[in-house]
Amino acid sequence: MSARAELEQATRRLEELSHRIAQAVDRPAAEIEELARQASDLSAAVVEIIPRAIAEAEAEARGDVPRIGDPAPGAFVPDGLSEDEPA
Amino acid sequence: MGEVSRRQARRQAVILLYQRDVTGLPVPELVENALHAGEHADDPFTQALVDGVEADRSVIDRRITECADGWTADRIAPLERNILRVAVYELGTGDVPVPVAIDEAVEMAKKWCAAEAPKFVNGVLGRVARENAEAAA
Repeated sequence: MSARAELEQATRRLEELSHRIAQAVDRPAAEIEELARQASDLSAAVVEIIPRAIAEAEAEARGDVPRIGDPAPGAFVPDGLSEDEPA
Repeated sequence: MGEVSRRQARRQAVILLYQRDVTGLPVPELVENALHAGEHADDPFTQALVDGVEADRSVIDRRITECADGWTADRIAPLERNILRVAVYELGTGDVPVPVAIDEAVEMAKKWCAAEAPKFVNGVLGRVARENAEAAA
């Protein structure tokens, strides 16, 4: 999975958790603590993923990594000029 | 650690502000974390940008909302929002030539964001710069 996809997924989960924590005021303290612990772990993960996602986008912009849909290195790309291809 | 260019400092500032925005963690903790990861997070220009945006965030967000036709700052994607915040702050200080502040933000949007983001960032910042100039005249 790309770092950007990971970031998108983690950010969405973090938003969901924040919403659940906000809604959990009447829940037992242990439950709220558990949600807070999960949010803390996820925040740490998001902090770590963000620079990787940015570096990945920069590498893609420089052309260092293939974009989705680019042909694999060495792959045959029909150009209409090959002898095996109809003109 | 080596010399940090202003471009690198802006990059780091946007990353720290983006992390802060998404996680709500305090800036000193994020700076500490970035330093452990070998980033130049303690660069003075980076710190000035981060501190400046943090101190004036509500004013900056209001300016963004006023200049982003139909968008409020809180509805803009967090990465674009923080690119805009740094640039709006820089435009407000007058320390950086207007075209430089705008170009740097647009370049970040080109590299990091969705295809339509650079045009959006350019449009918002162009309007902020025009209104700043009119107010100063």
